[in-house]
Amino acid sequence: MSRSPEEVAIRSALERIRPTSVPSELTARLGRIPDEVGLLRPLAVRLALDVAPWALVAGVGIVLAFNPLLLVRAPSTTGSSDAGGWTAAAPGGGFADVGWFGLPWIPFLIAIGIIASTQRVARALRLRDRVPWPKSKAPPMWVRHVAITLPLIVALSAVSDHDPIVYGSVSGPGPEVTDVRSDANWFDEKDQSGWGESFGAPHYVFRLRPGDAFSYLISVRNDWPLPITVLGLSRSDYDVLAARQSAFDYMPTGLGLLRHPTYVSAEQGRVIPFHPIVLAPGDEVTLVVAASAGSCADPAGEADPATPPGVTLWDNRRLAFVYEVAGWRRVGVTYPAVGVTVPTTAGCLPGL
Amino acid sequence: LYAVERVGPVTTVTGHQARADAFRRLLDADLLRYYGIAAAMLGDSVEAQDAVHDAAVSAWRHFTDLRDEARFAQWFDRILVNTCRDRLRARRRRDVVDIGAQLDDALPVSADHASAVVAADAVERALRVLDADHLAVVVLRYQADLTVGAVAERLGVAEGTVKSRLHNALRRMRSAMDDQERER
Repeated sequence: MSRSPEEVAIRSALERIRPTSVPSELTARLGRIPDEVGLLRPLAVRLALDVAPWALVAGVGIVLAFNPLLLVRAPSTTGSSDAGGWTAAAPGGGFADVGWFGLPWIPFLIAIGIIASTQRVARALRLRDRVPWPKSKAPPMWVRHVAITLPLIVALSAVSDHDPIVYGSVSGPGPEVTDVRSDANWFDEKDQSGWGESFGAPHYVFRLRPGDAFSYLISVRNDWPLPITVLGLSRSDYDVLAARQSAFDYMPTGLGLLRHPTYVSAEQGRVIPFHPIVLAPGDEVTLVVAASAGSCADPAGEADPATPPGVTLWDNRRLAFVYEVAGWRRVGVTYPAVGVTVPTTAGCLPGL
Repeated sequence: LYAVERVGPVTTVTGHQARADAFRRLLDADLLRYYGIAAAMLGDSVEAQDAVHDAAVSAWRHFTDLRDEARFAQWFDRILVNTCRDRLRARRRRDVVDIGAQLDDALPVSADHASAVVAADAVERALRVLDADHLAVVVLRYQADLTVGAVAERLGVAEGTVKSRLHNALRRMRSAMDDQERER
């Protein structure tokens, strides 16, 4: 094989500096190495130890995502709302907060664990014959992946307005109801196809005095392909509006669950205090909504009072739930196809 | 070129002493070549000894990772080149070192006539302008006399990358030698 003059010159120069013997001190130093230096554990063991913490992180994340009740405390109870004595006057909680779980910590945890583990395995397989493994000055690959993944999750969440909680097939009044109608009132309904109108939906009228408690039943369904955990009504959502609305007709004050799912009744003894409940895709649960009549409530009042000009009343059918999906806590709003009316004194709008 | 003493496949080694004996035997078989590679890359006989020692420590610590002991030489080459490359990068600055003079003090070298010495000096200085990656390719290709494929295997890069680095290395060396010529 012909060689260029440059190659010949390089070979010649390298030949010139090529040592012709190994210094005896080097030979001696090398000979002592096996006696002075310990062997590392086998690669498989080292890799397992390297991956284990990240696999644990991913595992914990997955467990929390699919067993969300591990993270959820039982709702605080008040009054006499023990398991056998749920009443609309003392529903015993049923509210929840999004809080810090509004950020996708658990999906983030899972992403970090899985990406870091796979990166380590891939790196070990790629570099198994390269000793020592080179140190990368760039951020670890999993950091870069997570830096991309997290904004993507948040962005997808932001653009997705499809709440998983939709109204279900069950509704009913509590024992305090005074009138049940199925008249020509219509309701705006938001379903998968958007907003529509529903005629002839049940309409419950509760003629009550201010402060009276009452209840009604609705059901909600999980419309997502992932299991969700219903944690309760959104406390912050209701806190904002409660001061305004409670002075008027009524405000939800808590939730309950049917003691027996097939016995649809809000009578005492048939309802237990609400606790977070997991809904598989397509599953439905019946909830008992406890409410309290506002200060304008009047048993002899109008059932459909006209709203004074310039006043915006909150749609009481609106129910904001805190739910958790794969460890990510969010608020979903549903509008059950049921009308609940507490007649009020004509012209009474205190505090609005 | 060196007459490389190849060691036959090592039978199953059990126990620390047997493993240590095997490691020493495998290392000694090509030790002069390893030392030559380190000396050429680092241009310093003392640092070359340290590099070989460091590489041997790493190799011994990971000795159980070596699946096929018949490939010890290739494996150790790679460790040694990585060690030398790390040392070169750690220097942060690239001194022009007359490695011939240094090695003359420490090592017996082959004699050559005067003009060849001058030319070799120029090439040696030109070698020092190369960065660690390019220097590794040149040393493995022209001193260890490895094929492009073997160099690629040892460096863990594609053959195309080796060819590209060789081309760039020669271009840089040519430019450096031209600069030396102009300075005279």
